[in-house]
Amino acid sequence: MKSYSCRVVENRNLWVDTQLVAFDAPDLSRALHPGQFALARAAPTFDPYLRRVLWLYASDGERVAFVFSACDPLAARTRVGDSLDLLAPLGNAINLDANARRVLLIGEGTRIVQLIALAHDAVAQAREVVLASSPVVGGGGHGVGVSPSPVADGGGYGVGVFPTHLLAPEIEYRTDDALSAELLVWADAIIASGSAELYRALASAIRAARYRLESGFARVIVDLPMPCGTGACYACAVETTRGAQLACVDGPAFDLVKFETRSAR
Amino acid sequence: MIELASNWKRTLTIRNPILLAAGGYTTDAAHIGALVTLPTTWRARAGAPMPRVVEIPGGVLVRTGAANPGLPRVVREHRRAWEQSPAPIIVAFAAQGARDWATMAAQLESVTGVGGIELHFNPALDAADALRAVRAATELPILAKLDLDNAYEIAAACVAAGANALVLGRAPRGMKIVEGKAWYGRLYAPSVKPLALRVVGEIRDLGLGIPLIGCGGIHSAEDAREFLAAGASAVEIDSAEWIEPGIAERVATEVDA
Ligand code: FES
Repeated sequence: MKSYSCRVVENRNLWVDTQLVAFDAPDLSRALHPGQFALARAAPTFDPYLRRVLWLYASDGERVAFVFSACDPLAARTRVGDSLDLLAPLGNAINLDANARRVLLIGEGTRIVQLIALAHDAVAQAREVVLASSPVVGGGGHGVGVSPSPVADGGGYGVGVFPTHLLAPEIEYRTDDALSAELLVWADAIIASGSAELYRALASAIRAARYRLESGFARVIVDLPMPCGTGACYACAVETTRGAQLACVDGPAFDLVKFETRSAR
Repeated sequence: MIELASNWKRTLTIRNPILLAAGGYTTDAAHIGALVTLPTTWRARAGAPMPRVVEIPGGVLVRTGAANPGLPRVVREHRRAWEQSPAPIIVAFAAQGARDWATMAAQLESVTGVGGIELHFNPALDAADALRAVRAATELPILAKLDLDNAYEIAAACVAAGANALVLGRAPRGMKIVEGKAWYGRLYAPSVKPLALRVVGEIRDLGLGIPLIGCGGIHSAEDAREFLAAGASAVEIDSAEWIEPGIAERVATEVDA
C-alpha cells in the first residue's frame, strides 16, 4: 500500500447513485487490479473525517477510474483539477481460476458497478462472462461504500438497467433471474456483490441447482465502511468459518462457503 | 527517555512521548515510544453487529464490540514480531473481557517485547478491584485507561490499587439516531482533544505522583505538545493513524526535533 496524490480528471454521475471519479495516474493504474480498492481523502480536511472507499471501476495502465456513492459529500465537493490523497492498492485482487471458462458475475442493485472491472478483465482473458443484475433484496446500510440503492424504476427491479454501452460487447448482460438454475449450472465461477440476504439466497440457489456448494466456486464481496483499510481498527471484521477475518486485509472477496452471512449485515 | 512505571519495580522506559494506539498488533515505526495494541480479550470476539461505524460531521462514532482474535492467537501470530519490535509493546485489554484479565496478564509475563499492559475501564467496572487482581497476577507495568466521564473520580483509587500510569482517556461515548433508533459508539474526532486536555489538567492537579498519558483528538505535533504542556508525560495517537497512516511516526519525529 502506498500513498498517492492524484489530480481528478473526471468526476460525474455514472448511473443512479453511483459516482465515477478518474485520475491520470499511471503508477496507481498499474498497481490496482479488479477487486481492489483505494481509500481517498480530500486532504487536509477532517470533514468528512474518514477516508472514502473507492472501488476500482476501470484501469488501462494510464488512467484509473473508481466508483463510490454519489450521495457521499466527496462527490459534490470534488472538482476536476482537484487533488485527492489516495491509499492504494488495498484488499486482494480477485483472481479467477485458470480453468474457469464461464464466469457469472452477480450484482445487487448498484453494487453491480463493483464487478465491471472484473467483467472486462475476464473478457480480456477470453472467458465467457455473464453480468447478471439482481434486484435489491437486502437492506443496504453499508455506509460509505457503494450501497444497494432504494431507487425504484417502476418495474420492481430496484435500480433499472445498467447502461450497456459501457460494457464490452462480449459481456452478456442479464436482467432476468440472476439466481436461475440455468445460470448457476452454466457457470464455472461466480463472484457476487450485494447484501447478506443476496448471499444467503445465492448459497441456497447453488445448492439447489448443483446439489452442493463447493469451496472456491463462489466468492462474495464484503462492502463495509473501512476506517483504516490496513487491519488496524477491526471495524471491518467479519465472521468466517476460519474465525474473524478482515474485509480490508483478508477480503474484500470471501469464499461463499467460508463466509457466514450474518457478519455482513 | 521517559519512565512510565516510576513507582514500580519493573520499568517501562520509552524514548519518545508518542505512543501509537490505533489498533493493530505490530508496527515498523522506528521513532514512536511504544505500540499499544488493539483492545484484546482472552477468547476471540466477533464483535458488534453492523453498523459498527457511523460518521458525524468532523468525526466518527465507532462500536466494534471489541472484535479481536483472542489473546492466545495474537501471541502466537505476533510473538516473533514483538521480539524484534523497535518499540515496546503494550497489550491493551478490552473492558468486555475483564474477568479474564488476570489470566491474560499472567500469559504475557514472559513474552519478549511486551513492556506493559493497558487496562480499558468503563464506568460499569470496579476499577480498583480489577486492578488489584491484575496486579497480583503480573509484574508487568500496568497502564489504566479511564473513561473521560469518571476518570477524575476514580484516578486516586486506581493509583492506590496498583496502576503505574493513567491514560486519559478512552474515547467518549456518543449517540446518534440511526434509522429511528439510538445507536451508541465511541467518538473519535479532533474535537475530543479539549475534553481530554481538561481531564489531564484536572488530574495533574491531584498530584497523584504517577505519569499521565493523554489521549483524544491528537492529529498533529502541535496537539501532542498541548497535552505535554498540560501535564502529560506521553500521548497516544489513535484514529488519526486510520486516516493518515504514518502520522504517529511523523509526530514522534517532529516532537523529538
Ligand atoms: S478497515 Fe480497519 S481493520 Fe479493516
